[in-house]
Amino acid sequence: MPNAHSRSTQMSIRNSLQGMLADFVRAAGFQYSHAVDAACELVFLLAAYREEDSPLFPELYLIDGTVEGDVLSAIAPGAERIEIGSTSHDRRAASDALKKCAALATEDWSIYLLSGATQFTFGIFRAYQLPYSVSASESLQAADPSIGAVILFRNCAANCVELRDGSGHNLEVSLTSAPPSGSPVSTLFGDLAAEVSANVDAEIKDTTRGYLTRLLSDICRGSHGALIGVVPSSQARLPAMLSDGVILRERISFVQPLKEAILRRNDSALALLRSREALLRGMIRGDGITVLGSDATIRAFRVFIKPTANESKLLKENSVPGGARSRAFELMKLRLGKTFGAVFFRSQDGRTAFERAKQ
Amino acid sequence: MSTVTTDLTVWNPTQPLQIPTSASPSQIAQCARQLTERDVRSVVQAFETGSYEMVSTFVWTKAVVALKKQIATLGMEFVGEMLGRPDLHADSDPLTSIGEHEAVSLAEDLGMVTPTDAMRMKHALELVSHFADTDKAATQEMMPEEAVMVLRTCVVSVLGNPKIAPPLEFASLRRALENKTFDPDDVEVKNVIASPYFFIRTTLSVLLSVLKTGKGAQLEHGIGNANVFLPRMWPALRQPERWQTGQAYAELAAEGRRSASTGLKKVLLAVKGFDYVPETLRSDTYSAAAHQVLTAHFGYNNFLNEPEPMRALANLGTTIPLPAFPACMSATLCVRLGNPWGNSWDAQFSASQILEGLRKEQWEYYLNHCLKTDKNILDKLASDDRPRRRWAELVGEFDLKAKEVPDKQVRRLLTDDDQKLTVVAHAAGQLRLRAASQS
Repeated sequence: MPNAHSRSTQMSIRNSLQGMLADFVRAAGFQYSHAVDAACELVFLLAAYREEDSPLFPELYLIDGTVEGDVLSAIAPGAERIEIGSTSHDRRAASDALKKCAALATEDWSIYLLSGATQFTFGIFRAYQLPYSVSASESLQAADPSIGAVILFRNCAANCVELRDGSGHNLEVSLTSAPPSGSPVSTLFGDLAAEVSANVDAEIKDTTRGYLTRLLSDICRGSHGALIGVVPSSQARLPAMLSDGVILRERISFVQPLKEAILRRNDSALALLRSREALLRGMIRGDGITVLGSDATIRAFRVFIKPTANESKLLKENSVPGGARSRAFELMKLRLGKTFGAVFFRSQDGRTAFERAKQ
Repeated sequence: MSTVTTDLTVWNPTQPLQIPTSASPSQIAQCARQLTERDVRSVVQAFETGSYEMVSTFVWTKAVVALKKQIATLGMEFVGEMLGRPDLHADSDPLTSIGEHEAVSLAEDLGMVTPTDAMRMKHALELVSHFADTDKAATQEMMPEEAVMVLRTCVVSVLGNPKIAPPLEFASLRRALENKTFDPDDVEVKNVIASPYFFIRTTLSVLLSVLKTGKGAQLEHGIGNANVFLPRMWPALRQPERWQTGQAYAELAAEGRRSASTGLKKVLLAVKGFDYVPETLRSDTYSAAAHQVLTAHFGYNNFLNEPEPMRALANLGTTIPLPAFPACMSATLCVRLGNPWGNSWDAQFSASQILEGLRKEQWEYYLNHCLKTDKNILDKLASDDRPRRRWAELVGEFDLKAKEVPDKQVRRLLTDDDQKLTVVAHAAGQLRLRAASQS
């Protein structure tokens, strides 16, 4: 016989999250509750989406299909799209769409979930045509509320989902006990890319920055962590403090292949650019610090740094939780303005930080 | 001190050279200021020895090369924009990448030659191409009057001027749109909106070309002017030009031209024009294939050379992206209608494959939005009897009379009655005039 005094309480984070998400989704221009339900479901699913025991990091665009105008054409013009299926307006819509599309949404493919009057339709589309094209997420960043109701959902760290609408509003939902990063993770990649392209010719600077933002966030997404230091392009030789690593004799430039790809528009130029991307991916995903120049070049990788006696003292005074990468990042921060112009950190669980030297 | 004019004024075509109708070939050749004395002597000798095919080909080649070179000075990106050819870029060779028919058509649009001279040049091109066929040369000869027509046309339109160039007003238009940002209340803006359609269309092409190629301040002005002019021009823009704008937006995003793409997106937002943004950039493939067909059709040995590019176009399928639809239809109908000497039999199957696959809406889109500016087809219907007869057959075969076409002049073209072909010729002539630069 049950004890009359025993109490059982079930709590779900869903209820408290639903209200906040409803506000965001309605502010983005969606009128119907099924969009709110889908948004809530997506946040929980994307926080740690796995298939066949492998983590997947699809980007999904929830679009209001009940209004006039083609929102997808506005943010991803000329993008090939493939409709995969449709589903009724219920809670399973988001999981249906992810189940059928998530494994396909890699590289330049993203998912769309179109909320129509009677059902959801979903499929995949190319979020960018060429490596340096304006991507759908970048286009959304510079969008306008009148573009229509659209929200981008993507995993930005372990158990953390970023939502962004067409009017520049951003919401990061963290399902962990970690404190919020303070600024959106996507903004940090933009800041890093701006620093890496700071000394690129004005003619191609904008394109390089956009391209690197996309590339760096793609590389870091799903990596087991990254440490990147940016050094001024004027520095002909790297300082001795960075000598414990693979120092490249010749800088590996992204600008030249980028220019070639844009000007020549041929397969070999694009292949060269892709091969440089593969190199950078391997370097960043490896151990140690990857050193980039502010002229969009790779200068060194697998670089390890040790604190001086003075630095050790400072680090002890301001000890931070975390592993070796976190400690190395703290040391890199101490060398801002001396060795590095900017430093970037991403932990295995997706914690991300960026700092630049004070002017 | 000279001042740079930046007026936005509609231009008139460059006035052609006046040569008396009674002038002999020798007298006409003497007027060709772009030919050397040696060239002129050779031309005269060729006429004297009756080498009409040879002299016509020589003179035509000289004229068309001069025309292409002059057109290229406007910038190949701009030329690509005007011709709807995304494959053209700054480094494209004008001599090999611009078709001869395209050079003539563009020269007409830009006022470098009058519409009448453009029509004569197209006839000259047809004549030269026809007699360049070695099989025909063995059995048929060019008549002296035909050779004189080619010589006179080339000299009057191109070779008689020391340098053929677009009118000053055109240069002024480009300068204005690149060097200053207009205010919406400027009288020039209102004038452009009230101008003939060809001027609005050219202004659009100039603006889109500045967005695609401009840098620094030039690009800033281009973006500013796109935001001033395009929303005001939009209600007057026809479907193909709206698709041209949407296609430009897709290309800018794909090319990573961020400022320009954002600028044009703002315009499309203002006019609610995202329905004209293509869902795929595959239209580039269709446009390039259509260009190959037209180049073969207007080139030498056309009957022999049309089947392959026509087959390539047909193999792309009938889901033709709308930005490329006008060019694909023009190319297919050129093959189907042929020229005054006949048509390429081997290319007919592929042309029919495309035409048979068209849906009712696609036919109506062509008849209502593309045909009235399709100079290739209108020229055929206005001046050549054989293509007109084949057109009447086509109207019957695809029951074009049953299509919804409100424009009365276009409706007059939709007859399958052989007895009414003069009506077709007249209507095509009227539409051709409307499509011509000064209409």
